[in-house]
Amino acid sequence: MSWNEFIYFAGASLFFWFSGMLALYLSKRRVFSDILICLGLIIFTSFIAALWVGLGHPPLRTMGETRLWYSLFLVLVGYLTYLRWEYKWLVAYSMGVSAVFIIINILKPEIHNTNLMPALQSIWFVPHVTVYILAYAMMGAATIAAIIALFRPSQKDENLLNMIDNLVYIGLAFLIAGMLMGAVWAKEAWGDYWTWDPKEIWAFITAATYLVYIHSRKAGYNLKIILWIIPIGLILLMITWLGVSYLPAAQGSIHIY
Amino acid sequence: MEFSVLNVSILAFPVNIIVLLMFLVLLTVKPGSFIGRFGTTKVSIILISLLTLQCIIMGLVPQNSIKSSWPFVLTYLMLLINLALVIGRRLRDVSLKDFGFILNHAGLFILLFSAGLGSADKEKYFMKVDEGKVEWRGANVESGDFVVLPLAILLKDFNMETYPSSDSATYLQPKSFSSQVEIYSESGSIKSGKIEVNHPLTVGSWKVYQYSYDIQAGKESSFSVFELVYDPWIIPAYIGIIMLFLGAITLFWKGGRR
Repeated sequence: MSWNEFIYFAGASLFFWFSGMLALYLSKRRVFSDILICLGLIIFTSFIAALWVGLGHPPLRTMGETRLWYSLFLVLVGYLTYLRWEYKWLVAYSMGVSAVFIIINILKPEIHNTNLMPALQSIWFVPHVTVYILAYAMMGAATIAAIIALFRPSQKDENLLNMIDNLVYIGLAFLIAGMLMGAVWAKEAWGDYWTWDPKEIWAFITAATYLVYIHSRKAGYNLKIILWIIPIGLILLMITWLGVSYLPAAQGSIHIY
Repeated sequence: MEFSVLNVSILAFPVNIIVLLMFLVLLTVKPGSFIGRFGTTKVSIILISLLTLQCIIMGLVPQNSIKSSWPFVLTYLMLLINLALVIGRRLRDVSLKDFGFILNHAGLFILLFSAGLGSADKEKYFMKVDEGKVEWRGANVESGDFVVLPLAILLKDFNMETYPSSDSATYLQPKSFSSQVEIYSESGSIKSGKIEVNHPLTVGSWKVYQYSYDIQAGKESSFSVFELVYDPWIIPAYIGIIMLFLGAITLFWKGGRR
């Protein structure tokens, strides 16, 4: 198997995934969406397995090969999160991002020759990035919900607050998992699991901010004040994700590619 | 902004072990007592916020020395004290449903301790070894001083693969580079193997990393540079990381439901 066959497998997977998503929203019976999404996952996994055999080594050496794994893991983890917490929009989101990676892989075949530098050739690369992409989604959704709660006239909506907490806990679990996998990887690649590199500093700031939120909820502080921590957290998350490269303090970072 | 900088080496063994024992005593402190009241959620919130604010300065100001400044180290230590008291309070009346709480808080305590006070025992050296030669001296990464190390490395062969060049043949992008080595330790044991990026060799509490080579010569490099890292706290650090990872799974599963 080679990249030439990718378009057929990817097309079939996307077809099943998006039909599964439609079934999720339109059909009352869960079984249709479950079968369709799983079929898509099986087809996509088969392609990766066959490509692995065809290449003779795990497909983890080029940018294109890395995107292949994101496409799979995003839908897989997004779907598993849905199975636990019933967030249909997360399935749609993860399929959307996955589709973007698939389309880039189809339209820009030259990326199959864009090689990864040796430090990036690690089994930690894909799970590390995947959980962060999902964390952004959870925290983005938590921010929208928090702003609704903040600007809604005084009545206290328990359901909305429970959902905000739920989104923050799941998002924080992803953030912590991403940070820990990054630490183990850094030990293998750079010799130390934590060096206060700018990217690490900002990842820590972001996670600690959400930690302040969940502890403030336990302490029972004034909601109108502590709900503001969530949008602030999202801004910090954006700095960690996109902004670090532009900070003067980060020009010596080894974490910028 | 300049604070007096703490020389972290004052925390090296045996000081960190003594501090650890003092922390363990804190586990037994009564929650209502004078010291015990430092172990409340409100104190945790204040300390995490203080630490976060200092980290924001650390992440914004170029070339700062916050991470070894007195205020930062003090906040870090107070957070460890707070964590020990929090864990101690929960252990007084522990039940099975608390395992997520214990994994997260004890895991964080173990990791913060190993990464903080434990790092005072950490040593890092660069070692340049010529092909076919044995080297046992390393340059301390921070001070640059040469020292005789308890490990000696024989470089049997340096290998490099490059990606086929696209246009200009002047610089070939490295695909992988690795060294075939034999490592001799003071105890007389010999370990041979291949060291490459992302795949260090472990000898006791030492890890040996592929660091560099003769960039000018590329494939023809006749030497290899290794980074040798000694960290006796790496096992506790990994234990903390695993506990926190499992704790993150419980956060995901429970999702904040009480």
